Amino acid sequence: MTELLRLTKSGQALVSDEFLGGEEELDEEDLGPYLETTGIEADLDSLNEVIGEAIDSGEFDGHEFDLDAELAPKVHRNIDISRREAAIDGIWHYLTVVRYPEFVRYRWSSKMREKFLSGGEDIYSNALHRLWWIAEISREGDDYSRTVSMLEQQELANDIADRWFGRHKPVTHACIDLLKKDEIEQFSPSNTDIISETTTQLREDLTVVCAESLDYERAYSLIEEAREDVLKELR
Amino acid sequence: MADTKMDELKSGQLQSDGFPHNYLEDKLNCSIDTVEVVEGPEVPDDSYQIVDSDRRASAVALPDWDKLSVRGSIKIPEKVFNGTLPLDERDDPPVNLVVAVRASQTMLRFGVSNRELDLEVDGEGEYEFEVELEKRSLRGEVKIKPYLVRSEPQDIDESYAEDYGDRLASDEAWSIVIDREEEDGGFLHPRIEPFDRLEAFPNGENLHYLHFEDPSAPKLFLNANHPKLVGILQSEGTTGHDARFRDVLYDYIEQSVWQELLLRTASDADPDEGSLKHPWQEEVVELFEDELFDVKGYEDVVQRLGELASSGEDVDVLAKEIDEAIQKRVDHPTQARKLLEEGIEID
Repeated sequence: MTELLRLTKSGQALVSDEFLGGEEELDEEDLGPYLETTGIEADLDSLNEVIGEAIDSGEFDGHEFDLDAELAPKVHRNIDISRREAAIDGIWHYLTVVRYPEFVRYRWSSKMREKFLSGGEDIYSNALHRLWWIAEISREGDDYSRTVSMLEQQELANDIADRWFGRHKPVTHACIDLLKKDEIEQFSPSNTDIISETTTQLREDLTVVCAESLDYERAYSLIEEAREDVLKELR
Repeated sequence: MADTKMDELKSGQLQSDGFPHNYLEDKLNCSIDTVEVVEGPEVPDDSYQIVDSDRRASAVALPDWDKLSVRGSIKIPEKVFNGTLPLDERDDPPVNLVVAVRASQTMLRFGVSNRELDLEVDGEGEYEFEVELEKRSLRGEVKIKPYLVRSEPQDIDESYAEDYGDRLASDEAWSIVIDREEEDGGFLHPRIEPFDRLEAFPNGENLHYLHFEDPSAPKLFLNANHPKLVGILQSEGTTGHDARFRDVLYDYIEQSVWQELLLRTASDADPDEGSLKHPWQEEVVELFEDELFDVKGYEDVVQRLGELASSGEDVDVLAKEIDEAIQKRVDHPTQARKLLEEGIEID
């Protein structure tokens, strides 16, 4: 197990354009005074192996969504920390800048600073924070099948992760179950349109319905109705 | 932006006057009575600060705990049932009472309903609730907000809420503070220092100063030589004259601070590359992206900033754009109006 360090805000200033472009690297020695201990540990040896294999295989070249679906459960399993710990942005900055910069550049081919340094309440920012939190909000215990379903379709991942309703598990689970590929491929409108319009309708519905009042069954009914309305409109 | 408004935007909640049916926002009366450690070391009773007028309770002073029990009560007046349910339903109201728990930093939302509390909500009265909070799932602050919602659909009268889960009434949220905010002099966490004792600082009478000793990490300072104003700025209340005055004062500081940050960002923007020098500048552009210029997209905004700043002739255009963008964002009239209304109520 490896201790997860935390990159302080001041340390972010060392993340240069050259670093983003892969022309330089930053290790723990370079960042020394800007790294704090946390006492939080994770299995980075296993994660190194998993990420390395994924990149080296070439299987995911040009298939970023498949890469996300492959890695998110593994990131979550190997960085086995609480939500409280995962809410420390500096940990994710340490992981992306010091431990896995190659993965960030491979997955996000343009020089996107936010993929190294953002985080917070924006699930969709930091490259590893993103995978961990998407796994966290979608899993059911040790079952990550919904995580995979969510990440297989970019639109679905975006529309759930970016929305406040995505923080309420019954709604997230029902949304994935009704809008995953297997469920909507049978319909003639495009998957992207069905997902986008249904989640937009859901968001509007939840301005009137209290999300926290919904268990899974009720959330499923609400979203199913929204999907039906959308399919009628799109046909 | 005030916390309650941020909650409303995050939850997609409409203003009550834009609702499709009668929704009595703030007509429930929720109070939090105790915050107790249920898993963790025993603590003396005075470790809990429940500040009723601010709708805020703090668990910060509690030693290392694993689970808290938050107990309170929700009063539902008769007018809520009369105002939100068809006449035929009022004697046996088909409603649920839900306590929504929201922790934005840990991406968490869940609800505790009267069914789980083994309570039947059958009319006007006071209903007690208990919510358990696990520290491992939380960071920062937790919001607790009660809702009365429909528990079954109705087609008796379409002028009232019709569907399961439709909101009927609520109350302003309570905040349970789990962690003290870090004071690093960052934008939202200014440091307090006496300006007349610091050589690098400007006039000792200024209220605030944005320090760029380290250009990569600007820090906001408030002048300790204005203790009354600083005290109001640090207050945490959400109602009353002081809270309204604080909000107006913050707006004034924000106008000045954002102006300086945006001008420095423009000055450092490379119009050819569309790049900036420091991460904080990227955050500033992202924050104001939608309000600045007629162009769309982060890179276009950066380029435009750089073009105007480097032109020499168009600095007045830049200043005007920045001023308008800040005013759109800070919304001075709202806080000023609230302060005015507070003053009228006092009179």
